[in-house]
Formats: sequence, C-alpha cells, structure tokens
Amino acid sequence: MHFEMDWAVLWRPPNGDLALNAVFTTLKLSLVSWVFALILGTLAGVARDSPHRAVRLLATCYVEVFRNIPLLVQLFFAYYVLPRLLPIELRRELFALGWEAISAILTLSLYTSAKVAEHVRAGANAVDRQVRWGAMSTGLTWWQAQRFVIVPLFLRVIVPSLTSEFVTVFKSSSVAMTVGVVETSYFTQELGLQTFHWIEANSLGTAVYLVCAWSVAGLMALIERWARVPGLLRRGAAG
Amino acid sequence: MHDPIVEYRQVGLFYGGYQALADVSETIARGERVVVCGPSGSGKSSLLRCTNGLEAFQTGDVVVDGTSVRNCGNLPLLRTKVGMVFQQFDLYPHMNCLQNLTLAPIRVLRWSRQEAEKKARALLDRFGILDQANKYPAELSGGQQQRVAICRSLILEPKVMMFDEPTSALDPEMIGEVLQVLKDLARDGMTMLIVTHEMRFAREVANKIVFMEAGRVVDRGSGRSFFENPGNPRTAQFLKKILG
Ligand SMILES: Nc1ncnc2c1ncn2[C@@H]1O[C@H](COP(=O)(O)OP(=O)(O)OP(=O)(O)O)[C@@H](O)[C@H]1O
Ligand SMILES: [Mg+2]
Repeated sequence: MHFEMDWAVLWRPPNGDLALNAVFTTLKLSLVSWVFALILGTLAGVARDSPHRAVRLLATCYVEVFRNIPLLVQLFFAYYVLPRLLPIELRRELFALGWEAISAILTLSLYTSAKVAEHVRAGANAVDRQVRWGAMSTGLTWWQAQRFVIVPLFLRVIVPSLTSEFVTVFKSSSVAMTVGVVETSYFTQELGLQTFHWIEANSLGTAVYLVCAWSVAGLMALIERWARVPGLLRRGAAG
Repeated sequence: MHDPIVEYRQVGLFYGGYQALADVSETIARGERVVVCGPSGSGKSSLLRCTNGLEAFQTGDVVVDGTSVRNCGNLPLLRTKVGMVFQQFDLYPHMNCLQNLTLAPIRVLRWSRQEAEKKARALLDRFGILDQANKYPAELSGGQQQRVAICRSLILEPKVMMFDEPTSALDPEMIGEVLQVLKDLARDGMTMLIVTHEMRFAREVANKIVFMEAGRVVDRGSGRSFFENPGNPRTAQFLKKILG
C-alpha cells in the first residue's frame, strides 16, 4: 500500500490525456442522452394525455416499462441480448460502430425519458384544462394547442424537477463502465488498480461529478429565472 | 327571426353513463342575445362546449352558421366563428396580452404578424386596455383579464359570442366593467349566448332567456315575460332564490 500522496499521477503522461478523454466521454454520454430523453420524454408525456386511446395506452406502456426496470438490467439487455437478435453481419457492424457507447446512450435516453415523461405529465395536469379549452375554442388544433400553449407553459412549471433528472443522468452515465465504455468512473477505477493511488483517482472522479452537478444546477437556475411566468407563483400562492 | 346562427337539434351528451344534456333543442337567430340560467350542474357549460365541438355529444346535432358540428370536416375553422369566454384563467399565462390575441389569427387564419398585431391593438384600444398590451395575464386585474379574453375571441370576427359565467369569478367592483363590455357588444348587434346569474343584467340585455335543469331546457321566454310571469314553477322558485 502506498501512503504517500502523488497528485501528479493524474496528469503525468499518458494519464492526463486519458483522464481528459474519460471526462469528455462522460459529458458526451450524458448530454446526448439528455437531449434524447427530453425529446422522447416530452412526446411520451404529451401522448399520455392524447385524445386517442391507443396512443395513450402505448405511451403508458412505454413509460411503465422503461421507468421500472433497473438501468443496469436495461443496459445489459441492450448490450448483450439485442445484438444476438440480429444477423451476424449486422452485429459486427454494430460493434464496429462502438456498440458499447451507443447501447449506453440508448438505455440512458430511454430510462431517463420515461422519468421525464412522468414530470411532463404531472406538469400537464397542473395546467388548467380551461386553458386548453380556451386555446382550442380559438380554432387551434389539439396539436397547436399543445405546441404553443400547453407544452411551453408546463415546461416552465417543471424546470425544477427536470434539474434533478439532468443531474441524475451524469451520475447514471457511470453504469456505462460495466460494458467497457472508458468514461470517468472506468478511468478512475483503472488508474487506481494500476497505480494504487486510489485516493487521488477517486478524488478526480468525485470532483468531475460534483462540477457537473453544480454546472447543471447553475444552468437550470438561469433557465428557471428566464422562463418564469411573471406573476404565476404569486397567483398560485393567492389561489 | 328566420336567420339562425346556432341551432341545437335534440342534443344529447353523456359523460360515461351520466347524461349531462338530454334532447336540447334551441335556436339562436342572428343578432339575438340569449341568456342561459339554471342551477349548478344543469348542463349550461356543457351545452356551450357542445356548440363548438369541444365536447363530443353522442346524439342530435348542432348547426353553426349552416355547418353541422357533427359532420364538420374542419372544426378548428368552425371554432373561429364561435367566440368563447370562460369564467376565468383561460388566458395563456406565459404570453403577454398582445401574444394572447395574435396566436390564433396567425396560426389558424394565417394572418401576417403585422396585420394581427394592428388588429389586436385596435381591439385593446376599443376596450380601454391598450396600455396593458405588453403585460402578462397575472399582472392584470380580473376585470382586465376578462376584457383581454373577450378581445382574444373578437379578433377572429366570430358570428356568435358565448360567455360562461364571465363575471362569477370577479371581485364585485370589477363585475360592472365586464358587464358594460357585454352591453356594448349587444348594442353593436353581436349575437350572444350568455350563461350568467346576473339577473338584472339578463333582464336588460336578453331577447330570450332559457332556463335549464338536469340537462334539459325546462322553460324559456322573452326577457320581460320570463321575469314577470314565469310559466314554470321551478323557474319561479329559482328566480326567487337568485333575486332574493
Ligand atoms: N368532464 C366531465 N366528466 C364527467 N362529468 C362531468 C364533466 N363535466 C361536467 N360533468 C357533469 O355534468 C353535469 C353538467 O355540468 P356543467 O358543468 O355543464 O353544469 P353547469 O350548469 O355549467 O353547472 P355550474 O353552474 O356549476 O357551472 C354536472 O353534473 C357535472 O358534474
Ligand atoms: Mg358551468
């Protein structure tokens, strides 16, 4: 066991470059997944309120399936099982493309989108149906009412709950190490194993996730301030 | 009176197994001002929502300006002909007044933004709230919000305006200003269907009063006769309760 600290182990070549790559991979996994999750989650959440029964049912199944299966199980399914359902050439193609990272992004996106859908739905229910009636009575179609009135309005209401999901994506992205994606957690474990400088390695990991979380919180606070509907909170308090 | 704008033909509406409207037949002629009253839960709001197809009724039909709501291929367009103002809170809280007014003209009627805003300003000016154009709904008083909501319907140049208890959520001192707007519209010849408990106002403005109970029209009369000798004992009882 080494008891002597050696912080330089973090940037001594080639570790410095490797560390940067790993952090970059974490950012890439998380941000790409988040964008997909937002899009899919909003669609699924809105669809759960659709006037068409079949659409509602489909959206409900989607949400219940992806929300209730542990992320790790989904990832193993996507990484190990899905390719086996494909013809061998296609399977090779997948792995050549980097199926490790792709399957991680896929699962993170789906899992997170199911949770986003729940927030979206809660937000939608918070929007008075009078507002939708008002919009549709002026001739807006159901979709136009959603697009111009309902969705923007409740996105503003749900920004706080989305913040915590966004932070969770960064943390959850660490499961990608289990299928061999060299992201921050993978790298710090590897560095610890090779150099036995566990404290230094894990400090790096901790710092990266903390900085991500704080950045997200700061960004969302900005959005929250920008998106706040003037007087909405005041009216909520009064009503 | 043979120029009907809205015709209800034996309209029946069910919420699941509950019958909210039963066999409602009524005609609203051009320029007519009809007040609908009746106890809570009698189906007044439901009837209004059937008029522009917001509520899909199961039996009968509504004909608006010659178009059947049941077989309407373009409900959105039909809805622009039927202005609708609710009790409260149906303005878009994330848009300022001007944006509230111009959304539908731009998106549904395909007006240019410039054209829509010009028209919106003119309307806001007419109702004395031009200075509020860039404010958000929650920054306005209840009376001002209702005036904006009325403008949002009027900008589409509807054939008929429907009001669902437009003053019942307002503080007493604001009721008058909104009723005044309705009176002005009436004077300008707007066809109107108004659900209200303001009986003094009804007496002043209405050509026809319709009394509903349990999803049916149980009594109707011209403004004056309705109040002076209600034919139906239930109507008499209701009026007595409301007029005190
Ligand atoms: N979406 C709905 N689902 C089920 N029942 C409903 C729905 N909307 C209204 N109802 C019921 O239908 C009946 C008529 O309702 P409606 O709102 O049309 O009455 P109203 O005359 O406008 O009453 P109020 O004076 O209280 O506004 C009521 O018994 C109500 O509970
Ligand atoms: Mg009502």
